[in-house]
Amino acid sequence: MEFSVIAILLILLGALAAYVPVYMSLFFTGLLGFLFFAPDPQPLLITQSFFKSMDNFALVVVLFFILCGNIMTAGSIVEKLIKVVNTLVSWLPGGLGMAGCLGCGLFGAISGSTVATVVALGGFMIPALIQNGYPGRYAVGLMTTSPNLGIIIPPSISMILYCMITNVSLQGLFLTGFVPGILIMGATCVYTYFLFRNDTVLVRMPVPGFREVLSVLREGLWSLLLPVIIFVGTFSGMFTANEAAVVACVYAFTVELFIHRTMKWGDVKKVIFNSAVTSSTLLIIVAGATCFGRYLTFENVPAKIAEAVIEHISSPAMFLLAMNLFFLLVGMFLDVISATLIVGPVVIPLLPNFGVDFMHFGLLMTVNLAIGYCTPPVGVSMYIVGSIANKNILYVARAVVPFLAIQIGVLFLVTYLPDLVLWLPKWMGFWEAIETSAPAL
Amino acid sequence: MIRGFRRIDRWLSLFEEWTLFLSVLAAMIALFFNVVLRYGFSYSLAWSEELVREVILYTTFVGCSAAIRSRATVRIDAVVQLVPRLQYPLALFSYGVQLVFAVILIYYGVQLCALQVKSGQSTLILNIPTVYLYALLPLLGVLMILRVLMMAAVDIRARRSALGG
Repeated sequence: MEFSVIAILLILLGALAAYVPVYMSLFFTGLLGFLFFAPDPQPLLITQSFFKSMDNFALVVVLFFILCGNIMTAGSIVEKLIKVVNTLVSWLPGGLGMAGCLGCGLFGAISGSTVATVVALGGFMIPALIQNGYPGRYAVGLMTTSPNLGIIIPPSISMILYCMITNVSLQGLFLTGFVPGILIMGATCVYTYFLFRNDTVLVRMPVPGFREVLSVLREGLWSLLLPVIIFVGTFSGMFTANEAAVVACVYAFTVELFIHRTMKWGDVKKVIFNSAVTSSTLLIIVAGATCFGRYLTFENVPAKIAEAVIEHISSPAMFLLAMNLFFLLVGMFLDVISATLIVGPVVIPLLPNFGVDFMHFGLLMTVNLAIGYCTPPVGVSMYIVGSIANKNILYVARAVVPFLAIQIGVLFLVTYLPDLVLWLPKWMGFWEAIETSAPAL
Repeated sequence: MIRGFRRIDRWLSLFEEWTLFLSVLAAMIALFFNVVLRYGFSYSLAWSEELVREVILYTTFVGCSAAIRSRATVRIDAVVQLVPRLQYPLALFSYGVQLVFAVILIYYGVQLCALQVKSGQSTLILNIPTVYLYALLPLLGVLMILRVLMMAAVDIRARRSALGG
């Protein structure tokens, strides 16, 4: 790689470290790259691609899944979901911890964002865990890492973006997320079980009676129907992902306004406005990443990296290992959106050379970058939890270690056993062999 | 100056809140009815997709201005958290960069708008002249300058009173 690319990458990292908004750092470094190293820099065109990248129908799904998550949090759907899960597992040792993890999974099945999951569940699960006698480090570690399920379990923002830059079926990629999601939940619960098996401090609930379970289920019925609507609608082909998100929002509004009655009409405007702002902060990164990506394409970086990789790596197993390590490294510095849009087009053209399936790779990228939410120095979840729990970042970094080990274990499992995740989309008919990909950026 | 800022802030917030709310609501209703119409009456609204795309453009660019006020813009605060002493200077630096960005948006945004006027392009179905869409770029630039100056004023005052008190 030449001097110019390395200089630009350093400027990017410097700008990010200097507290410049992520999308501006990307836009400016892309622009500077063109100004310094292009024979005929056209800032007008860069500004235009900044604008044009937002003119995309597929992006609306991000807005509506965020809206859906916010409606659930503002109303009582989240609370009811947690209550259901908690009743089912609270009699086990470490039951509340398991409930926190499973709750993240359930929330992730409706919201496509990890940040939304951290904010929605971390805020009340961490104090609840500590009050119930769980060690602070366990509570913080659990609630920093479990929200990763938000983008691993469908719907998922990073999967949506991956499908935008490849021809992979979105429904199919969504389906691959279930197995790793369930494995992570299962392994975290088993870990919790063994951690607290002989614990005498924690209060263990009695096994709930049939009638109690039934009444909690009845109360939570409307909330539990929400993921059902999303999944049945999307995977039966009834709705597109966009429509599923919108239908979920309308359903969530209806439930909160008319059935639970926990939300007032006056709240509707506030929830919608806040969601629009949150989604804009994410989507604008897409615009910035597009500009930066244009610079990388101009410098022919994807082809150069491809050449270097093919020269040095020969086996698919080595390639996947290298990719995992590379993405874990990228995830330490970039957020999920910019990483997907910048690194994706660079490495995706390599897949056919190693016979790696595009859908499988999309999942690997998602899990890798999800883990990046919890790795220093740039781990968004760590900072959010740090401020919720009033702990410094080093404490959080130590707390997440065992949980991240579980997730990395699952990552390697699904890396080397592609059929473990691909059987589901294959069985449901959403998988097809793609020979070539067409990066859209 | 602070009082003037407050008045601008009130109007700006009102404008952002209502337009963002109404545009997202419109997109939601359009997409929802599209589903209902398709299954109930095997009919689909040709304009809904275009409307939604325009809503996304609008909410993203205007939402960015609102995000400055609520300090929701995505930034990497690793350095700021590890070295709290750098927080204030880096915040000011970041405001400066945002101002430069806003000026770029206005400068090139206006040029892009002029190009759209010259070519007389409009959108396919709703027939909206594209210049109105491109006008979002300079609009964001202007909103951003106002927002950044306000937030910087708030921060500088807070710093002064913290140092003084």
